[in-house]
Amino acid sequence: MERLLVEQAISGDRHAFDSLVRNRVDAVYRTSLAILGDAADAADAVQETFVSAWCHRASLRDPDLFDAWLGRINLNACRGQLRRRVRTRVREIRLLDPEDGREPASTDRALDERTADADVFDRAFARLSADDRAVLVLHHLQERPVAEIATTLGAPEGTVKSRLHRARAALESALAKESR
Amino acid sequence: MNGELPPIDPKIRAHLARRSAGGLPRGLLGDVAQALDSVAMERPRPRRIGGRVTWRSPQLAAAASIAVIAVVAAALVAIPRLATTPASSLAGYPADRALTTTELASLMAGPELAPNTTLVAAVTIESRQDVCPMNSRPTVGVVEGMGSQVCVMGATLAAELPGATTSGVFAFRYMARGYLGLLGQISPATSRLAFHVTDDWPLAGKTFLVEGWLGETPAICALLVPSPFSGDPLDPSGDEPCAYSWLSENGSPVPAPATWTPASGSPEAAAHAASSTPTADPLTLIGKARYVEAGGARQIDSIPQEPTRGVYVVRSVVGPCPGASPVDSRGCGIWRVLARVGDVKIPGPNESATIAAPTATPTTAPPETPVALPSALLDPAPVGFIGPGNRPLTAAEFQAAWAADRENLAGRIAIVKGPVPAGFVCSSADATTTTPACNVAKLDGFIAQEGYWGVRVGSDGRLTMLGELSLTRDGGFVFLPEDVIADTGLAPNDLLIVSGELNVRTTETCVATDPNCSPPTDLHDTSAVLDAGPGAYGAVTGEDYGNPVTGLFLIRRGTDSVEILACFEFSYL
Repeated sequence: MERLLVEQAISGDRHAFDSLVRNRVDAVYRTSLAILGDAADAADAVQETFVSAWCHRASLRDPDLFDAWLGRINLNACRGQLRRRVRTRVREIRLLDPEDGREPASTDRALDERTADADVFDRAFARLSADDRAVLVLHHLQERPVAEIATTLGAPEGTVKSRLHRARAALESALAKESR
Repeated sequence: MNGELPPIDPKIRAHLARRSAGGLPRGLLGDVAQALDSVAMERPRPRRIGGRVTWRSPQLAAAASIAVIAVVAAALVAIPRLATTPASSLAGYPADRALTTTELASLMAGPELAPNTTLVAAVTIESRQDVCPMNSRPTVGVVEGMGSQVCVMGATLAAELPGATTSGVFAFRYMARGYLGLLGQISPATSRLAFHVTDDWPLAGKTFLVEGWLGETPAICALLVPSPFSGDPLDPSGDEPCAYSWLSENGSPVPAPATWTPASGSPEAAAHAASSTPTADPLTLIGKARYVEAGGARQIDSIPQEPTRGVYVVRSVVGPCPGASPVDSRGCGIWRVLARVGDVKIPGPNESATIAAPTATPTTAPPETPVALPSALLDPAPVGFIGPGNRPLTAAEFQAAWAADRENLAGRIAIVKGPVPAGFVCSSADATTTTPACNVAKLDGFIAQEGYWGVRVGSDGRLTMLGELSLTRDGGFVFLPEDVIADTGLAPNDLLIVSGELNVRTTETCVATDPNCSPPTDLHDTSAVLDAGPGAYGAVTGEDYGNPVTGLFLIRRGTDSVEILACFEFSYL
């Protein structure tokens, strides 16, 4: 059934493509959000992904590889968002208490620590390239098989492990810098 | 599952799950649908150089608006289509025969055709009264036997398809992948498909093909005549206020109707003499020509004013009689040219299909296209040099380019089709001329080996061989990034030409404000990414950061990355 939908979409059937979009928009959005860390950027990436997929549907040679193919397009869309962000970068800062210039007090120390931990992670993650972010998301979050990660990254299977290792090392390095 | 990969790190997983948590933004699905609607009429991007997604959804409009498209003078050629291999003409098409269903199917499945390309095909159309799912427009039918659905558009022509299915020869305009516009069902000539100009043409609203020369004779008209409306491509107008168009057997000039007089004793002579207004009957032969209306078709198909040979789709329509009073409601027959049949070439066994745009085809082979030279303002390296149509230069073209501007050519990498002028020197000390020249005959004699070669042009004209280009599996010489990854026949150090987009890879550790940082560069398309290493973007553009650059790149393949040696024809996005 799914393969039939893909085949119909490739042949130009918008209704079939719309069905595919409905089935995947959530997953594509979450992947984009994990990579980009910004809801608006992720929403833009989702739009770009599906429009690009529709425009380039003729390039999908094997309907069975639709998800990996869509993943590649999504990764490219995320790359594009990150590139655009270079020119329009806004650095978020923590708000200070307007009364005395100190940070707002917290009554929940554990929550504060978790928030700080998340903040460090997000800032460290933002230091990584789109490809490094993607390989970490595909493996550690989505647990995709090697072959699918390779297809999504457009890289040989043999280099997935090294890319993953490189991305992990980059993340550790970034975490160390952000924790100082 | 992933035994060879490191184990899942629960802490990373938890953070990534946190980052991706939350519901879909309200309205996102609708926004996606709206963005898709906005591109439904756009043609899918062909897999070729220079192709870019031209759409931008509303949310992306701001980003698109700052994208500067600057076609650099180093865009040595402005050829819209990349033909990887020579194509051969269809024997007898379209004058003698129509495309078969199989041929049409292969063309529809092949590379994108130019919009409005006119095709003539013998097919069966299943009538429909619904909408084409591709664009939600009314469709009059679906072409059978196409493999994937091909809708036929043209609601006003539903009468051409009276039954549940209609078989015959039809003229179509290619509108986009998946749908054709119906020009009409073709009435064939007796002995072949197309009529000669001097044949008796069908009347009463018939649509048919005529092989001949379409030309025009200027008419006196007001200086300020607005451009006539070309009409619907499926129903072009005939308006042509400042010229009389004609179709002729031989392309010889045809006089304007007011000055035409039939030969003495000819059948037309008596009627002509009796007429108070000596205008020509539109249905009458003028020697070996007939007047036609062709204003709309000329605009849509970019048919030049000069006599242009081709096969034309013509319809007999009823219009006002020349010199008749407005009360004469019976009208007169008029021949209206609807389209010029496109120059179709079909692939050989291992070739890809190519179709020329529906423009005029010279009847004599043109001289080899002059090669444009890159701007002298550009740094010679790494801007490379390639021939018209993104194909390797022939020896003659290389010689002409060198003779035209040796200063600008020196230092660049050129892609040359063998035989290769290895060791050859362009000399300015030619005994007969002061123009720098190359001895092509001698050049041909140096290396007889066929192939595509990368050479660096020295300031003295001496060529240094970089190596032979690897070819794609189908014999072309332009790879896509995914081909480079997937082609196991390629080896490190292979020379390749890759069509793709060069981008700076953004990392927070190498920011735009850091002058000492050469950011990593990717060469990619929508499907795959090649690591071009640090500084490659800057080497091509002269800037460390900027908008993506699309073009043809000469690369040397490494083990896990590629080296950009030259960029041919590029533009910023």
